[in-house]
Amino acid sequence: MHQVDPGSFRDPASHVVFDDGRVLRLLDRRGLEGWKALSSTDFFARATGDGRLIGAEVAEYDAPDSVAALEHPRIPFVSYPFEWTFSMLKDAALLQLGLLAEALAEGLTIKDATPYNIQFIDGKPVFIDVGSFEQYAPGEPWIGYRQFTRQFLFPLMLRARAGIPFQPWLRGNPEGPTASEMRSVLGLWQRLRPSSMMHVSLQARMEDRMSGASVRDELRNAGFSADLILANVRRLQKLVGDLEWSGGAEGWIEYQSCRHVGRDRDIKGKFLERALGAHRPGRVIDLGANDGHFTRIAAESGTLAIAVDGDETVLDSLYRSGSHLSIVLTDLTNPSPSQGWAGGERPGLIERADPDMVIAYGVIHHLVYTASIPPTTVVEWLAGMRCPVVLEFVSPEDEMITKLTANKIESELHDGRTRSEFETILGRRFDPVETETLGTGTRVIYNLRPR
Amino acid sequence: MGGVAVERSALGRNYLMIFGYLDAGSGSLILQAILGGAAGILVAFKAWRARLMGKRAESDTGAETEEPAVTTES
Repeated sequence: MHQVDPGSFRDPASHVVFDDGRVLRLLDRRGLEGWKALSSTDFFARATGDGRLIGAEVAEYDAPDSVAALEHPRIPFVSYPFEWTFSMLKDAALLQLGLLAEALAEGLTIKDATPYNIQFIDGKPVFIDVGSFEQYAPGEPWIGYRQFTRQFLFPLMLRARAGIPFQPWLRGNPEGPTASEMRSVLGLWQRLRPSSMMHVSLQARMEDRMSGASVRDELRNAGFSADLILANVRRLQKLVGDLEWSGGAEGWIEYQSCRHVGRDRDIKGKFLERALGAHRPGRVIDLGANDGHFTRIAAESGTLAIAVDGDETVLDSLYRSGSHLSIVLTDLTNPSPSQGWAGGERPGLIERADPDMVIAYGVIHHLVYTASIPPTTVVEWLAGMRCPVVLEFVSPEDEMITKLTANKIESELHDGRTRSEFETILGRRFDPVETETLGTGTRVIYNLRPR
Repeated sequence: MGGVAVERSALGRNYLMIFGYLDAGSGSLILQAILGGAAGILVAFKAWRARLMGKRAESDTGAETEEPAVTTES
C-alpha cells in the first residue's frame, strides 16, 4: 500500500506517492498526455541529462484512478522557499524561466510557476515536477505568469529593492505577496523603475479592474502567441539576473574572527570525525552551522549533511561558494513548523530532516543565554530527535557568556548553566561516549548517545 | 453591493478563468501580452477592446442579471 506525498495533491493530473522506498508519480489521462509530449522532446533528454530536471521513467505500478505511473529518484532532503537564501531563490527563478523558454521552443509549456516544484540537490536547483509540463496550445497565454511574480519575482524584489527578507512572508503566506501588496511595500523611487511599474503597479491595477473577466478567448483571437511569452520570459531573465542582495553587514559573518573559533576548530573537527566513525549516521543535521565547516566534515564522511542556521548572510555566502551541502535558513528558536493544508502539507524541519546524528557546536549557549530557553528544555529537544548528539557546552566563566549576559540580571537566568548542573541534565537522557575540554577549560565538547 | 460582486465573480464567471488548477488572473494575462513588447501591445489592445464589447453585449441582453446573486454578506 502506497503512502501519498502530503505536499502533492493540487494537480489532479499528477501526484506523487511513496511505496517501499520508491517515489512514484501517478498520472491521469491528461497527465499521461503531458508526459508523452514531454518525454518525446530533445528538451527532456537535455534537461534531465544536465540535472536541471529530475529523472523520470515509466514504471509498472497499479493504482486506482491512474492510467500510468512514473518513477523518480528519491530527493535526499526537501527544503522550502522560506528556508532558502536570496541567491537560492534567485537561481530557482532563473531555472524556472530557462526551462520555460526551452520548453516553449519545442511546443511545450509549464502550467504553473511555483518554487515548490524546485528542490536543491547537491547544491543545485532541480525542477522536480515533470507533471507541470504539457503541450502548448496555440494562442494560450502563460498561465503561470502571476504565480511567478508572486512566488519568485516579488520575494526577490522585497529583499533587493525594499530591504525586507522574503522568508517570513513566504512562511506566513506561501502564495507570496500580491501585486497590490508589493506596490504598497516599495518606496516611491523603486516604484518608478520601469520593471516595478510593469510587473507591480500595472499588474495591480489590471488585476483590480479585470477581476472576474474572461480574456482567454479574446487573447487568442487577438493573435496571442508563444513569441510574446518568450519575449516576456527573456525580459524577466534579465530582470531577475540583475536583482542583487549584498548581504547584511551585521550578524555572524564576523564569527570566524572570534578567538575561540580558530583555536578550537581543529580539535572540534577531529572530535566530530571520531563521533561520525562511531555512529556511522546516514543523515546529519548541523544546528548553527555558520560557514558549514563542520557540516562539510560530516558530508565528507559520506553522510547527507544539512547545514541549518538563522543568518542569511553566512548561508548565502556558503551557497554561492558552490557548496554541495543541503542548506536551511531558519531561526532555531522558531524552526519551520509543520504547516499547509491540514497542518501536514509541509512537515516541520526536524521531521523532514529525520537525522541520525545532530551536531550542536557553538549553539546551545546562544539558545540558553540569548533566547532564554532553559538548558533542560534544550536537552529535551535534542533528546526528542532520538539520535546521537555532538554538542559544545560553554560555562558561565567563558568570555562569550560574559558578553551575552552583560545586560542580564543573574536572577533572570535559568538553572543548569554550570558544567556540573548541565552534565546532570544531560545524564538523564544521554550517555557520554567521549568528552573533551577545550582551551582554557570553559568549553567542553561531548559525543552523546541517547539512553 | 461589494459582497454580491465578489461572490458572483467567485461562483459565476470567474471559474472560467481557472485553467487546470491554477487561477491565472485576468489582468495578469492581458498584462503579459503588453510585456511581450510592441507586437504584444497591439494584441493586448485588441483583447481588451473585444472584452469591452463582449461586456456591452452581455449588458444589452441582460446576461449579467440572469446569474444568481449569492452573497455571504448580510
